[in-house]
This record gives sequence, C-alpha cells and structure tokens, in this order.
Amino acid sequence: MSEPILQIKHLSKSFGTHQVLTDIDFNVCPGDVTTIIGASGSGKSTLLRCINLLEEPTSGEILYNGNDITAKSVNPASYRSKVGMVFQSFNLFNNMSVLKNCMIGQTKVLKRSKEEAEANAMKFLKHVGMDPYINAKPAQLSGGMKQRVAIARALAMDPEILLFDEPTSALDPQMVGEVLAVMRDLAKSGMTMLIVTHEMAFARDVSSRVVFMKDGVICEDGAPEQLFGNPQQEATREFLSRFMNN
Amino acid sequence: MLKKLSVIALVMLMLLTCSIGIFADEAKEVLKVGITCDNLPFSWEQEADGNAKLVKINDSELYAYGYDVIIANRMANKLGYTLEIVKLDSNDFVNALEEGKVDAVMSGLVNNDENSEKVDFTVPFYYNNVVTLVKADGEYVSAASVSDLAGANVFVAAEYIDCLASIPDANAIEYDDMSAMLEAIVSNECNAAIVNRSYAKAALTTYTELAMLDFYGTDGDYSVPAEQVEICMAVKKGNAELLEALNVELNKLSLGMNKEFTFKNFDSSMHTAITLNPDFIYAEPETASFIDNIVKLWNRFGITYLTGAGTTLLISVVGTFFGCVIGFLVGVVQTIPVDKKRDSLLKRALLNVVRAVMRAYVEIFRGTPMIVQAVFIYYGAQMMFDIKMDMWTAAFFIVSINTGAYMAETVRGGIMSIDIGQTEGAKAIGMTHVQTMMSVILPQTFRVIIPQIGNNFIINIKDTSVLSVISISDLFFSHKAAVGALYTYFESATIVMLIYLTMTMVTSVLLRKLEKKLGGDANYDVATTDTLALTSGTYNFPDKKKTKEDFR
Repeated sequence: MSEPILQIKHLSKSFGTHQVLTDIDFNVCPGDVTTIIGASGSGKSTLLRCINLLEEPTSGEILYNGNDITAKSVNPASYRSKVGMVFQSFNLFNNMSVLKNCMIGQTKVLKRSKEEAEANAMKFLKHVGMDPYINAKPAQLSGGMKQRVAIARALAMDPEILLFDEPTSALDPQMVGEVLAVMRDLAKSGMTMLIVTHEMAFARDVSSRVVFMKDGVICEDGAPEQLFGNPQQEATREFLSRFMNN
Repeated sequence: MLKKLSVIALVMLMLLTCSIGIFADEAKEVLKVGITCDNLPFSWEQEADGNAKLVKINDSELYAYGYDVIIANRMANKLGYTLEIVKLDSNDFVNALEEGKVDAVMSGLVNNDENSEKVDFTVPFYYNNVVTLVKADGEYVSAASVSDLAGANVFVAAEYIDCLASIPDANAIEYDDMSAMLEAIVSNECNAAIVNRSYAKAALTTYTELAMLDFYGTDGDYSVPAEQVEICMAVKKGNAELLEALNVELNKLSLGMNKEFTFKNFDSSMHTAITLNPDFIYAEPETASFIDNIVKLWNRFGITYLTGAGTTLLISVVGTFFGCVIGFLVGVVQTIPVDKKRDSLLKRALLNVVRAVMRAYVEIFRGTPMIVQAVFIYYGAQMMFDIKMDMWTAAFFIVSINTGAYMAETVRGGIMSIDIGQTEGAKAIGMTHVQTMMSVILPQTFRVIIPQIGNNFIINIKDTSVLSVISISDLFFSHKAAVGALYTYFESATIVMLIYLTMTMVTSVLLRKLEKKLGGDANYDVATTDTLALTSGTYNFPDKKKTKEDFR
C-alpha cells in the first residue's frame, strides 16, 4: 500500500461545550474513494470542513503528505488550493458566468494564463457536460447543473484530493443521477475522493472504503461489501436497516 | 471593473488638485471685504450690465454692487488697495475676520457689546436712522417732531415697533406688502410710515408724491438704540492699523464743508446704489403674475440658478464618489476575519486599533450634523491647526467624509448580507481573503448596495445646501441671492424646488438602469450549435422573470 495522502490523528472538534468530533483516526491513500455515512448530526460534514480548515480543529493532527496542516506555519489558502471541495449548496460565484467560475481560481491562485485557464476549464466543463452553458450565470441553472459546474471548478484546480460534502442532498431525485454519474466517472479515473453522502447505493458501488460515523466517533470502517453486507456493530446495523427500509 | 474604478478615482483626484490650484491664495496689497450680497440696497449680486463700478465677486461669475460696495471701493481707493469682494453669510463674518479670510466686513454685523468683544468696529459708514414718510402735500408734512404726528394712522416697520409708543394717539395699520403701504399713503388711507432711512430714500425715488421727515439729532426724534442706526464696518480684533486708516476716511464722509455732521455724502451714495440696482422694485406696484415673476427670475438669474445647480451636482458627485471609496475601505477593514491561531499578536492589535479609530469616525460623523462639521472643519481647522483650506477643498472633504461614515455601515451590512457559501466556495479553491473580497464578495456587495448609494447621492444633492455656511454658492444659495434682489420668494422657491427635483429624479432613473444592467441579462447564449445538447438539464431551466432575485 502506498503512503497515505491524508492522515487524521486524534482529531477532536467542539463548538463551545458541544463536542462534535471525538478522537477521529483514519487515513486516505491516493486513489481511495472513501465515503462517510451516518445520521444527520453525526459530525460527517464537520470532519470534512476540518480537513479543509474551514473549521479549526480543537485538538489532534491532520497530516497532508506527512505535514501537519493544523500547524501555525501552514498557510491555509495554499493548502486548500490542492484540496478541492464540493459543497451541498454548490457555492458557485453568483457574479460570474460558468466559465469565469472555473477560471478564477486558476488565474488568481495558480497564476495560470487566461488562455491556459480557459482551455483547462473547458476541458473539465466538457467532462461534466456543462460546456454549452459557459455563458450562463449560476442563477440561471438548475441545481444539478450548478453542482456539475462546481465539480468542474474544483477539478480545474488539479487537486490531489476532492472532498464532497453531501453533494446531492440539495437536489431532487432526477438531478441526483446526473451528479452521481459524474462522480462515478471521476472515481473510475483514479481521483482520490472523500465523500460525505446519504446515497447508500452509490457508497456501496463506487467506494473502496466506507466509514460509518455516529455521535462524533467512527463507529465502523471497512470495505463496502463488508460494511453493507455484514456490519459488525449494532449501531451500523440499525442505521442501515432504517435506511434500507425507507 | 476595478481598473475602471481606479481610473475614475484618479481623474477625480486630478480634478480636486486642479480646483485647489485654481483657488489658491492671491497676491498682496489686496483689501478683501466680506459682503452678504443679499441685503438691498446695501449689497446684491448681479450679472454685468454696463455699470463700470460693479465689482466681481471672488470665485463667482457674478458681480456685486450696492451701498456697501460703493463705500468699500472708496475705502480701498483711498487706502491704496485693490478691492476684492468675498460673498459671505453675515453669520460667518466674525469667523471669516478671525481667520483672515477677509480683512473687513461691511453691513450685516450689529455694533453691540457682544460683537464688540469679537471684532473691532469702525465709525459708522451709514446712519440708517428712523424717518417718517408722509404725503408731500398732506397735513403731517410740517411735523417737526414725533409728537406732531399725534392721531395719525401710521404704518410701522416691524423692527421699529417700539417707536409707536412715542406717537400720541397713534392708530397702527399693517400692510403685508410694502408697495400697498406706499400706495395707501398716496391715497391718504395711511398718514405716515415709520421706516429706516435707506428704505425711505428708495421709496422717494419713485413715489415723488411722498416726503421724508427726519428728526435725527433733535429732541423730537424716535428713541432707537444707536446700534440699530449706525451701520459700521468691522475688522479683525486688534487690527488697529486698518481700523485707524478706515476711521480717518469714514469720518470724512460724515462731515460737510464746515466740519459739521451731514447726511449729504451718505444720501448721495445711497441714491447711486438705489438707482443703479437693475431690479429696483420698491415702488413698483406688485401686479406681476406668478408666471411673469418666474420668467423674470429666470431671465435675470437663470445662469445663477444653473451655476448653483452645477456646484451642487459637482459637490454631490465628488462627495458621494469619495464617500463610497472611504465606505468600502472602512467596511472592508471592519469585516477582516481574525485567525487567532495564525495571525500575529501585532497584526491583531493593529487591526483592533484601526477598527476602533474607524468606529469612532463612523460614530462621530454619523452622529453630528453636516453643518456643524462644515464649520468645525473649515473654520476650526484654520484656527486650531492653521490649516488653510479653500472652500472647495473643504466642501469636497466634508461631504466625502460625511458620506463615507454612512457608506461604511452600508458596505459592512452589504458584505454581511452575502451568503457565507460564497466565501467558503472561494476559500475552498485556495483564494486568500483579499482575492475573495475583490473578485467575489465586493462585486456582489456593490450590486446589493446600489440603492443605498443612490440614497446617499440624493441626500447629498439636498444637503449640500448647508455648505452655504462656508460660502459655497450652491443652488440654495442662488435662491437666497435671487430673493435678496427681487423679493419673489414663492416663485424663486418654486424654481429651486423644480431644479432639485429634476436632479434627484434623473439620478433615480439612472441608478435603476445601472442596477438592471449589473443584474445581468435574463438570457444567455448557449455556446453550441448542437441542439441535442440543449435537451439535457434544461427541463428545469428557470424563467429569469420568476427567480427571486428579480423581486429583491
């Protein structure tokens, strides 16, 4: 097994007196597609936000290629430029066209030339099937289209790992499919992905590893066949049975 | 967008520096005299009309004339100065003298104990004593003292109402209109009018049926305080040299051939002033209609009004622009996030200090009237720190920082109103705080706060009228000048209101257009000729008209 790209060690996070994450430990290796499942409020999103430093961990370490990014000396902006993130609420820039959305990070952060940025953006927009809409503003797009643009925007930065924070939760069922299809494609291409999701079928089919979280701790962690087929923990069984029955 | 803004800022800055250059200090050997320009027949302003004695008003296209100007000109000539006329509100006389903006002021400051402590008064340059107008062939024309007017129907000008008591059995009559009063004397309805000398002289020029009774210096005169009669020039407290020189020349005015006191010189200069006033209407019966008056006002003062409106607009535009710049700077600094872990103690401390200063700035300039700020900065800065600002710099400065204080809060609110997701989206692709602000947050903030910028601009158009305290001749000041000359308050106010309304409404419409433009097109071009591409995902294409952005 190769060297892990991301190592999370004893990570804890609390908002005031409310403990959200407790002593989280897990690794992500290059090429892994890891899905994090669990009930709402179990700390999945907070974990992802901590990994991207949108939230400051209370204690513990996050090692990215062996370096602790929670250290004072690390510049969060330059770290984030290597770690893509896709949000539940898309967070496309409302004042820019689709193409501009995918170019701005490349030109401002990676200092690429306009031509290079545009070519790169077009490549990924084509990949997600959004190339006909490059002149549209986010307000003119449907949710599924917005999310595909958001994925293209993240990919255009050539990230080493992509974080997905419930990317399909704000979409209606018809549009979920188009976004999941794009993600499936990405997984096949070997992109390292860390996905928080409620799409159990997707987690089972696509991921190389599934993490089940409950009340801020990792409850169970394993290959999808094992976790879905033969869960070891009572809590996991309960969660999955509730989900499957719905 | 940013480049365009910075170019505009540069141009504005250049304009500002130019205007400072234009209004810079003049050469020496000049006698700067402050005149109100709105006190007929002592002073008024007008356009050039062939009268060679008109004196150009500083920083204005107009000329001043009147009794004040005649005397000021005479004094400058006698003392060997070039005369410069500075238009001032009489409320600013004391300040302007103290700061050296003018060397002397003419009529407008009463020579009482209170004012004598602040400035030095000369001997009188006019005796505006109380006189009586009667019909030349009437029964009262031979009256030799106040008591001879016993039993008369009298009109008393408001400021001399106390004089009524000295006439036995007087029957007071009131008139709203001075010309109606004069007509009443001619028709014997009213027997006598108690008015001041300058007014009586003006009335006599046209109403030859009338005569003026003057009891000045006799026991039978009205008892009026000397300060109401003696119109004096004033100089800066302690300027003994100028005071002495002026007194010597002014004393000559009041002396006749035999060194006795005489009104002769005063009356002849006053007569000149009255007859040379192009709008001399004391005696004209008021028959002109509303429309006639409007036309007359417009013909005479059209340029004055438009120049005033231009000044108002210029100050509002420059003030609002720099106000927005200040507002964005302050608003942005107020919303800088603090990273307790990574930011150094020094940076955080510095930020806190800067924020405290900005907070204080916002509170002070939002919490005090602009008129007070204007006086404080224009006159105060000169007194306390010896900073000489010309009135234009001061006006731009005052309106800018005043607007900035309001805009700071507007921008702060605008930034906070932008969804946090926008910031997170930018952070997630590695943008720094500055990049996020410049590319993502501020453009959206700008769009959100345009209505508020429009508000501020319209408020500025109206509120610059208070800058007349620092002698800015804006639109409202031009109204004051016009009514000072023609006494057509209603008509002039109508014109001025219409001009204000036009400016604000045009502004409203333009801002709406800008807002729409920044809102973007409802449609976008699909960048493909493959019609099949359109089918995917377009089933939920939102009709732009129905998105909630349109109802904001």
